Amino acid sequence: MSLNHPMIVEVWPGDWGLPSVDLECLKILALVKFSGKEFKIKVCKNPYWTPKSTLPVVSHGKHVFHDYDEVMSYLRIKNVSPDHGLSTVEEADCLAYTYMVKEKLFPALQYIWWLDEKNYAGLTRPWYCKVIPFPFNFYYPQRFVSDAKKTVEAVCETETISEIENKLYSDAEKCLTSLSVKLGEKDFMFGSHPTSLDAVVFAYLAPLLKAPFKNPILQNHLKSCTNLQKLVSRICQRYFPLDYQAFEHKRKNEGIKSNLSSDVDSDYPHKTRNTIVAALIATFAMTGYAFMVGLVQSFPPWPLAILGEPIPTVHLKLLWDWSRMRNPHKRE
Amino acid sequence: MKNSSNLDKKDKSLSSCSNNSNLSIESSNVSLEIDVEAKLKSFSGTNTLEQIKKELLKNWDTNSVAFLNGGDVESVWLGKEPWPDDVKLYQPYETEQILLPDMANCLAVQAFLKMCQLDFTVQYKANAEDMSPSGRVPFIKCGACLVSDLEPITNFVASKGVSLTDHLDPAQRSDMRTYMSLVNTVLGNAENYITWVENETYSNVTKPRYGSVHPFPLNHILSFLKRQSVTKRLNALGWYRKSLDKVYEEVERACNALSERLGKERFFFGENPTELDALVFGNIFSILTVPGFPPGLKLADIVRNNKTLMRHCRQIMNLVAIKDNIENPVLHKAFIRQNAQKEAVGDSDLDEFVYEESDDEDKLWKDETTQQIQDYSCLVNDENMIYDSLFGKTPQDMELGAISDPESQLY
Repeated sequence: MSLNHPMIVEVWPGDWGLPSVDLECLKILALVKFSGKEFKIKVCKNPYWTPKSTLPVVSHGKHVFHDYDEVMSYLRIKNVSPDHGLSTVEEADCLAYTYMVKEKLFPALQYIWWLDEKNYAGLTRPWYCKVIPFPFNFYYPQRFVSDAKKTVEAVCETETISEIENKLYSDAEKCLTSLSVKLGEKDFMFGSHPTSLDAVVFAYLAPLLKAPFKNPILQNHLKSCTNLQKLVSRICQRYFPLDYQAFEHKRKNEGIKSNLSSDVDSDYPHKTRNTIVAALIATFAMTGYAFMVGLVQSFPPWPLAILGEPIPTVHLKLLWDWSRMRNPHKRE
Repeated sequence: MKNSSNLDKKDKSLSSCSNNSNLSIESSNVSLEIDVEAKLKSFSGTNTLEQIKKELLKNWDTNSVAFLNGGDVESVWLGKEPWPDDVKLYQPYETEQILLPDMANCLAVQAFLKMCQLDFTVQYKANAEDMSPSGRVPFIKCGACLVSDLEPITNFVASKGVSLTDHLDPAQRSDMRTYMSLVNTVLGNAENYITWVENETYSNVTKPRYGSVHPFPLNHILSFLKRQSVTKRLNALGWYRKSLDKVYEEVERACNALSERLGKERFFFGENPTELDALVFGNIFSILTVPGFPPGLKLADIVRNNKTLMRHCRQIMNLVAIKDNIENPVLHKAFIRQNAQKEAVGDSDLDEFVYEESDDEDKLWKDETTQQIQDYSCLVNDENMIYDSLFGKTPQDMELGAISDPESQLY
């Protein structure tokens, strides 16, 4: 397969100015982008139909890859790896930092995305449920949650949530500090050109930085490391300008809109309707229940009514008729 | 300002020790003053607070550093003993029970403590794993504190004022942490994979050794449960699904990265060893010396081909006074027996002590009694069952009890 043929990268859709919200997808997108190869992004909203039921999927002619390591070794074979100009010591550093980020930051991110109650209910679940098409949107979020649970359990054996949080956050914060020290004042981790380590760091930090989390403990720590924050926005602006601009544009528009209609409660027109619907449903359910239990009976049965006897159509059973209450179907 | 920063550091390390979480407390000058006042109050009842404070401020520049670093004063002031003599390091039996990943961690901690020149005695316990607060070996008992794993132990030792990393700048320190996590992730997981996931090694080495200290039904049940939990952990970390070749490849890459980083230097960071050196040594040495089946031997070969790491390993062996033959592959006796049965039936030379040959060159042991216990437990046992020797009422057992001190026999 010739090099000129573009790669096709299937990824989760993006949001908040990122080309994709998923960590693995971002890793691969950044890596391929840094390598300078041509590629096409194909947004995929349902991982069910992909070969391994996972995203991302990278295909180049006959070759199909599913994870970062495979793509990395493929790019190395094709001699377009972004780590090309590094010295051996720098390559060693690159490998070590990649592993460290995976070990220290990944469990914390999984926790923040999927296990933190506030974030899960307020951000992650609604987002994925909206994106994934109908029957699958009940299945995938659950699966991701159980995956995340396994990862977190593998890292810490402790029982209580606060202990787990403490451990994960302190590990992650140490990791962020190390990265910040490593980056220093440089443009990228190893000088002026992006490498695979930059791709990895970008993939881990960008969603953490951009997503509007409801519980932003780690996000705040990241924001205090200004050089890392600058690195992320630098990569966004230089390498994924379209997504970045689109998001900025959208945010500006929304800003104007929200300025115009900021006082009006957006829920307002539906409020009365919701109340009425709720009241109707409640009434219906209660009446149905009363009929089923036998509290209210339409009395007498139809044959008598046909005979024309003057009987009331609805007979309210008295509440102290306990025998009737217990055996509602017994007819006297 | 140097003084206050020094004090700050002390306070930080102290607080991180006391609640054992790594939240650093930013002690401002105000809180520091209050702290000092409180300590002074308890220290001397006769003089008024102001007098002592004045005196202290007068001498602040000259001897405050020595004042705070001096062992006796520190112990009175900060309520901490410097480093007690009776520190014990608990680990499983080396000759009979211990497995590759545990061996690596135990050696790393031992090497680290020796590098710090701190005294400790090694206690061999069959149930060290269950005694440990974190469920992992080794752990040290220092006064009332139980600390397990290398990283908490380094923090703990640092809180006693001993650190191997004081001379490093922040960039080097973050590099060190990074390489430690590289070693833990790749070598640690690869060791676990070989020991617990790989079938041949599991049934021939891991299961008999892990079960050797338990009576009949328990040895099967416990090793099965342990295998389950390790497998679950490796699965979550993404290592369970890897093929053996992929594991070798990752180990090789990690070893190359380590040797590139080491280069021609003696140690990883300058002329003095750090905890990274201890960790690398622990892993490399135990991969080389723990007898294994072909999968483990392949791992050892990968390491053995790496000249830089071998040199580093030998250097640290000199430093911590461990002698062993790391040049030749060590086969497990069960493997030798298998091959012997295939080749020639009735070869009487090959008994179960064959793999001990590598241990014959006298290992230097700190504690002679513990060595004796190990030897005896090895001698009285047939087929790796040291359970009987520990719990059964045999004549040998009585003899054993008479030789060793009674305390080490307690569980």
